[in-house]
Amino acid sequence: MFSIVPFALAIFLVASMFRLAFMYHALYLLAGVYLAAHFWSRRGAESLEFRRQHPERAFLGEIVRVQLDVRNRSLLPMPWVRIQERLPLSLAAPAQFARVVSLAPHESTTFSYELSCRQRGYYPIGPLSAWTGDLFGLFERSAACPISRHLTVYPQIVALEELGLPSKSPFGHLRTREPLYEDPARVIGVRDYASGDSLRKINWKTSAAAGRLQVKKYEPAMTLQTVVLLNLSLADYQRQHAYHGTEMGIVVAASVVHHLGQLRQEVGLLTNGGDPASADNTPVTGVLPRKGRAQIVRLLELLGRVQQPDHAPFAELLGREAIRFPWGATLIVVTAQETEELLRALIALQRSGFPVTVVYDDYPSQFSFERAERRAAGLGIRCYRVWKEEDLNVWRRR
Amino acid sequence: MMSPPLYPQPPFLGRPPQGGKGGGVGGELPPQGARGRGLRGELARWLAPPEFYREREVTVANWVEGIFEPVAVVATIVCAVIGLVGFGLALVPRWETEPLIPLSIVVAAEAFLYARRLVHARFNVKEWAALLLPPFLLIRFWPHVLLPTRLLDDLPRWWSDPGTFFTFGWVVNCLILLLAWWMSFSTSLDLNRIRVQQGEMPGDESAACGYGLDDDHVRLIDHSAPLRGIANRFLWGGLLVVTWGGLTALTVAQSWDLAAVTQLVTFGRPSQHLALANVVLYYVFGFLLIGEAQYVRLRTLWRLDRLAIPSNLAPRWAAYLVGAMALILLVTMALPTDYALTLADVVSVVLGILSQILVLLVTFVYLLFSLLLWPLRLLSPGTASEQSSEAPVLPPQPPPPPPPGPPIPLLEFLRSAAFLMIGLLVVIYLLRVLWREHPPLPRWLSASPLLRGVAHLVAALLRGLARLGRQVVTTVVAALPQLFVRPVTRVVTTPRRWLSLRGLGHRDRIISFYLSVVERATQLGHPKPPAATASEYTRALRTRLPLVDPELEELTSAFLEARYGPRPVTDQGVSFARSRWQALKVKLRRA
Repeated sequence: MFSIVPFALAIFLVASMFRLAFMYHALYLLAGVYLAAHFWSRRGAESLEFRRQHPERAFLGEIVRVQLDVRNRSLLPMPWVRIQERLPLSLAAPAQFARVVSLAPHESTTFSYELSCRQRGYYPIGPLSAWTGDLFGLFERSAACPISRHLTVYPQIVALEELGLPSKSPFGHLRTREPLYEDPARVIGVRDYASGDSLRKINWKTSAAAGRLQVKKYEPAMTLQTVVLLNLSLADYQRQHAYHGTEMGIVVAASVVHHLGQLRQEVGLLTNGGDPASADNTPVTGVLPRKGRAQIVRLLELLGRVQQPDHAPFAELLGREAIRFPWGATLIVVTAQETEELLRALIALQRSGFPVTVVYDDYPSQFSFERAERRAAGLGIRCYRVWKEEDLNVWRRR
Repeated sequence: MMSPPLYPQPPFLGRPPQGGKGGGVGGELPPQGARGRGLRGELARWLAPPEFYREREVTVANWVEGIFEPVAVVATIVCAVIGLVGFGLALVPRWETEPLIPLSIVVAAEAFLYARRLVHARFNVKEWAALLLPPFLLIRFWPHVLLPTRLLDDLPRWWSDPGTFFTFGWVVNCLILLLAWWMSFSTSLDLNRIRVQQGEMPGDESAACGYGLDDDHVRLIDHSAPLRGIANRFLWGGLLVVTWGGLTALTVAQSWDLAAVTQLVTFGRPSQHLALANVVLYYVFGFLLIGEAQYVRLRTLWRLDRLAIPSNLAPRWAAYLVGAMALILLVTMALPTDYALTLADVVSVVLGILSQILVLLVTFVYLLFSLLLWPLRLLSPGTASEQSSEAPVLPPQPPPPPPPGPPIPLLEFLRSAAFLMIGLLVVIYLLRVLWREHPPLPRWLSASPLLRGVAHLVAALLRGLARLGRQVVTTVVAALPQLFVRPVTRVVTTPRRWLSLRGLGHRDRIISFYLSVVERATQLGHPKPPAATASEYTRALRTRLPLVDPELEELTSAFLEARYGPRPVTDQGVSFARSRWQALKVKLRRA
């Protein structure tokens, strides 16, 4: 801002010529102020320590509290420190948090602010910039705290009751009407012996008591191993509905994943969206079906982070990745609208033995959806239309 | 009841305030109907008392700020005036300065409070005259207040010759008071501009007035220009104060005693003996003021950004500022300032030594060349006799040494040299900082090729010196431990000749047998060429030492089998090789 160096030099010259003690006092004073300001401001900036604490995940609509600790690690006090943290616009308004604080030696102070999770996404919290300086305005230094962690906001999850999805995987714990999938571990009663029944099914104790042969009755059960295939390519959606359609698709995928997770079924995900958390933001190739809460959390995080690419061929992805799907897995395809390439890919998957269900989320009206529904039905593919949240009631009424 | 606005509306509409942008005395446009009044209206306007219109409300955070700012400003100005008066008294001891310093306090305070109410730096004749004329007249008539009878003598003289009223001393006193007024006025305006200006605060109701926006000064976003103005004014003033003090001290002995302090404190005739203490006080008050102004500036910026300012920040700032200045002052007073020689004296001594060394070198080189060329002169015919008749050319005489001055103790010289060397190091550091902070300086140098060349040469020289210095330091640091380390006496150990065969495997034993034979043959003067294979060496050795046959060939086969063969070596093979080896040992011993 202003410099006292030229004046110090001038006084030094004058003092050297006059050889007077007091002039050196003035010189020492100027030099002392300058050096003190220089050292103080530099040391202060280097001694600032920041720590940011916040949860890494949150659900939609939640209020997340971020705690920011600022600490002065040096023996020198810091007369003033201005901190300014950049916040995601989708979570906070205004998109910054700024404060001024004065820190004594080894003093720390804590700030906290709230973020409103209004939109799903993967949000960097920060970076934080700090400015400090000396008492005379000679120097101003800055310090920074880079983005340490991100906040992932899960997508909206709609509670589903029954998906009614077909499965070819027996011996699970989901009830099914298919008698082929009788589970010998689930005995639900006995009946009279009929010709052709296996001798191993005979319940000898009950037969002895009844005086005639009795066979055990088993409950049919299945395992629903599911892979959700999500198309987020903006090019496949109508331009005016692209954002809405893709977000709706994410909601559908998240709701299905959550529902299957609650049923303790194996579920996986494959999408052509980009994951910003990956090093090169490549399209997600997929997460194989697994059980457990950790898998559900992982999938929901992925759905919270995933970003819509401009153009990523979805049918091509299906054909390429089909080899990784476990045999008999039920495929739920969430995409924009039917296309020839998509139908070809779905037929191929069906012929490979995968039960396929399609959810279209880019048909604004039922009328425009009916043709696609007819074609899918002709191919033996179950088909749904989800344009708004209420359309998910189709999985609630049953 | 509504609180008064920050920037009150002018009491009249359509008319700018007194002394407005029209400037000068006649800045106000007369109302349309009054044009006909002419001289009477103009006279009435001139005789009307000044309005002292308040353009802005004084905004200070608390009473500490409200008191400290005027006290600091007035104190620095008074210190400067004391320095100037001391210098004047050293030149003209009869200069009458009795009420000057108290009046400078009054004038500085007046200017501060007057400017505090202003937004613009206006020169309002009536208001300025109302505030400045009384001190001017008081200082003129002060001798008459002390001695009223003197007035009776002076009045007729002034009547007969009005010019005698304006004495040189009085004019100088007025100029000093005007200087004090200007410094305080400008500083107070700058302190105003550091604060939030009208219309600057978003959502400010009085922003619609637009009155404060009509400013002829550039308003910077960060309010740094007013602070820079205060600092530059203070620093330039400090330079002048130091110079005045130095010139004063050249003629006046400096001493600290009770009488001198009393004289200074009681605003008596300024003590020439303590004309130099005010320099330190000037800088102390000045830096305190700058520190406070910096806080106000930052507070303004934070308010504009709608940041909440912690309540403990202001007290801490004040404590840190006072503490830092106290510490710096303590260190300043403790550092040595007394030395025997000036910089010029030291430089002249050093140059004198260097010149003596240079002359001696030149003389030595001349003598050396003369000695080397003397045989050639003997060889050239005719020149020897010619030269023998000529008087020998003597080397140039070194310049006579300067007349010895008063003897300077060596300790004093060393102390002065060390003191000035430290000062020069500080100066070099400051120059480096200045070079970095003010980039236009190299542009000025680059304008001239000659200067650019000189600058490059100096830079290269400095880099070379720095490199040499680093090498010297590195070498010394590396060599220092050697001084404290005992030299390790090398113990010559003979190589171990005894090899225990029991620890070796079968293959290794056979190999050792063969190598033993090769070594013995080498000792006999038949070394194995490095490129020769074992078979080639055997054939060569057989021709030179026929007695080694056939044992050598059998041992060589066993060696090749053990060294390169895949089959395991048996005990029989080892025994066979040993027997051949022992036979060869005997034969080679005889050879």
